[in-house]
Amino acid sequence: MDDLIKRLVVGTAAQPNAQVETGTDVDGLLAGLSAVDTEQKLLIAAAAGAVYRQAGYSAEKAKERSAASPPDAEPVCSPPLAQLLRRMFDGEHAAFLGEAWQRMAHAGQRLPHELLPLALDKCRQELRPSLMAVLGARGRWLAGFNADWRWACAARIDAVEDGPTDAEAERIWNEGVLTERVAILRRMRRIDPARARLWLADAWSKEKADHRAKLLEAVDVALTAEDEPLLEMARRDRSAGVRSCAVRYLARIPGSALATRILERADAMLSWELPPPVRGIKSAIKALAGGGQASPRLNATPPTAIDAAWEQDGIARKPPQGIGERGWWLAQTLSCVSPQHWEDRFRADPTALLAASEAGEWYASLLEGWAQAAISFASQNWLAALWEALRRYALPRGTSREAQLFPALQDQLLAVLTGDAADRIVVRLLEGSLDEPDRWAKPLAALRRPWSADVTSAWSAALTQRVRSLRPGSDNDWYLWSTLLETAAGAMHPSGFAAAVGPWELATGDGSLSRWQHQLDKFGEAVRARQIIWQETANVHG
Amino acid sequence: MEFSIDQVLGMAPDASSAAAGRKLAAVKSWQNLGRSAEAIWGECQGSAVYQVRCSLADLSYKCSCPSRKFPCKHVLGLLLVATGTPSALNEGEPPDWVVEWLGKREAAARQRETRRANAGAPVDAAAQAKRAEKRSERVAAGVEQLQRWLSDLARNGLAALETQPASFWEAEAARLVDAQAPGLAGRIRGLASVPRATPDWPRRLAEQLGRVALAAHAFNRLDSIAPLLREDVRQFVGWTLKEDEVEAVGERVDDAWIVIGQTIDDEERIRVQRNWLFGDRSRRTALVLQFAAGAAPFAETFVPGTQFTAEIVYYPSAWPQRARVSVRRGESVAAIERLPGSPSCTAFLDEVTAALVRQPWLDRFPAVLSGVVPAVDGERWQIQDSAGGALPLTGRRHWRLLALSGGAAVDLAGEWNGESLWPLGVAVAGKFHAL
Repeated sequence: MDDLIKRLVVGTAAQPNAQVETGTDVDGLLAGLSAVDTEQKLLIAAAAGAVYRQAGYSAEKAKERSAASPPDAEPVCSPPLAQLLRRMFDGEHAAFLGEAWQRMAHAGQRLPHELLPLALDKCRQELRPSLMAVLGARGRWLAGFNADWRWACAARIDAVEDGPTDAEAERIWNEGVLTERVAILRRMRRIDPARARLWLADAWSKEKADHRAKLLEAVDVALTAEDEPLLEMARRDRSAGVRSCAVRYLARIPGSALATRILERADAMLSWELPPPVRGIKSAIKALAGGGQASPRLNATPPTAIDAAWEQDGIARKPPQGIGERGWWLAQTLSCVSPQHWEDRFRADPTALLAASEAGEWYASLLEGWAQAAISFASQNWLAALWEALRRYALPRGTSREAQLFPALQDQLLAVLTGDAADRIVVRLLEGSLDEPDRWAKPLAALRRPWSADVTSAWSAALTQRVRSLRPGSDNDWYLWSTLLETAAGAMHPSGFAAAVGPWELATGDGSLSRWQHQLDKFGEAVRARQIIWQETANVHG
Repeated sequence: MEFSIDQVLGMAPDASSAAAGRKLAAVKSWQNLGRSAEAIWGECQGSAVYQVRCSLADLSYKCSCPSRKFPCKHVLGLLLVATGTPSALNEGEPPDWVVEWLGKREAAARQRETRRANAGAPVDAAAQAKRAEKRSERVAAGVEQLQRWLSDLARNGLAALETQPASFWEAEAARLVDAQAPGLAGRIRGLASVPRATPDWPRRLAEQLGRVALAAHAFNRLDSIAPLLREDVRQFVGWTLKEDEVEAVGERVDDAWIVIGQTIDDEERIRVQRNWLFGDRSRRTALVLQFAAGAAPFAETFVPGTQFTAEIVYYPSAWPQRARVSVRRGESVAAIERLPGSPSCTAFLDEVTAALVRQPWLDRFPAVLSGVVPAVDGERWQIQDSAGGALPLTGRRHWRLLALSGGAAVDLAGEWNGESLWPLGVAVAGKFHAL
């Protein structure tokens, strides 16, 4: 039959006299064709061959296949949640995928089988740990067949409980992709810091610079004095990113050589000045009368020059625009010292320390350094006091370094602040000026999510008031509110869902506030999506 | 209305319609919702109030909105309400605008029935016979020219066709259209994409040209061919049967028909919807084609995974495959527990062989296989039966099928093209999923 196809491809003109024969039963049929030219005969024979081949097609041999999926341990999520997830994969409310998966994991639910390929395809890198918790046995089994999904088949790498075995961990460290290696290193830091150190020390010289930086960041967990040699090595690294990371970590190890040096320098810069003792009758009477009572002062005396040793310890010599050299060196040095140190040394609480420095020449740099330190050491008792001090700081007119930096630092402080303290600050701001969103929009956006019930209810009150007061022509703040609505939809506490889903009806139904209406409808729909997520995962462990 | 939300959304013409329909799935978007034994209806407030109705018998629908998408978001919204919140639809007397619509549909159905009854008695038999004879002559001349063209190709060698532009094939197709042989024209036009598409394109091209040559040869001696196969040749060449002709002569089968798969192809401004049906009792399969121009709706609604009781009528053929739904009885229901198909790959391939023995021009075969396991090895996909036989799957991404199966046996519906199987639907754990 192949000969025949070849003749057709070459053309009969090349071999005009060849016979049309296939060596099969087709020949008998071809012989019966009368009054048909060779070309037609060849074509018909090709057709007959094709039909023969198709009719004679026999089943392939089944290849060896992998074992079937083990049964799922968890129940599948509810149909309404499955529907919502499907929409989220299409891009609607996709921002809540992580929350949905975390809630499902919390309630002990898994994804429906038919959504698994979509979920694995659409999962962004940072959401992988959340997805892995809801894949179920079927999802992990499925991921094993597709190279793009390989990350999902191992047991959850970064979970301490239910993690991979030692041998698996070793394999992931040696053969995994960067994200997997960072995750397994982080996990190992928690369960066996010494082994994690050994891993990193052995591999250090073979890693690329950007990999070294990423891996070093994973050492963040449980820093101790034993990490000093490794970090000292990293401090002399070729890569600036690795060096600055190492310096930050070394500074956080109490008693490390670097921390000690920095502490000595910092101590030399700050001094505590008690008010002069009361001498003489006149002064005593004055003091008793309360007039001009002297309070302690915290004096800052930054150095006028620094040497190369400072730079090796991560202090940059050249200041950015808007700050002098001396202030810059002061701020950088303070940012590396645990704020707790100053409480101990001067026997004063953060509020008193701030009050004592307020009048000084270097106050702005002190605030900057302390705020950075409080953020990086997560010094809870400093955060609220610093936030208040930054808020009260009288910003100079025009553009300045402080005008740029201080609001950002305020937001960062709030984001680190745990418990009710941050909430109290924001609730107070909100309640004090419901109709002035400029004053609380940023702190609100900087709060940890989800918001507490208190913050949520203060926000809802502000929104309700604004919506009630909306009039055509008075909606110029629409842009600010549209950003707020978007933030709030993703951050609100479930206690506020019922009131927020709407329908939102504006007093003027004439369309003059259509931008607002549209934004409120969008807000209501987004909240509705989160409401479904929470309602459908409220069972069992709630 | 026992549909799943997935099935309703599956009817949407595109993703944005589905999203818009979902937004109208809330009862608050609707007024005057209701249902009767025949239909469901409701009024939806958009730029105006739109009246939406949907027949329960065949899921046909009508909405008064000006949208050119079918079904529009209002129809999808109404179906979603009926699926998700059936209690919102009160049993009641349909309003006038529903009664009127149902009445029109009934009248149209009666008219079809009458035409069918009168099909045997053409108004002017003589004139019709004359027209038919004239067309036969033109087609015969066209076929003769086609055979010369084919012989030329074979004489000069198919290798020379590798670099021919689409216009080369189009020119011959146009001549066949002029000769009133649109079936052959379509075949020739389709060949433009064969050269260089696959490594074995010369063999494929030779076989496809061969099939056309075989049909042309058969056409020249129609009188000596069995009557039913004669119909197949005529359809291959391009004679189409009118609905009432099919109704008059076609084989009728009454059964509960499961919609096992649906594909939609865009062919030059015409959309072609191919619906594979599978008879629950008869185990017969049927292909229902629907055509629509541009964005126009298809006349009937087929939802994969649903089942409806109907009498269908097959187009006359030596191996009847194409059919039309003649009389629907009762509602569509989503009641697929499993697909009772071939127990093994070999049993299915035997059916293919039997079909080809009767009708050698068949090129697509519906497959329903029970208890098969999908498997993947690198990029090669298979379905495997319990006897160690397997069929290759078309394409490289069947992840949803694999995820649903979990590596266990499922019932699979698909389309076999003679070399590989394209999965269309799978029944697993009592539920049908369109793929």
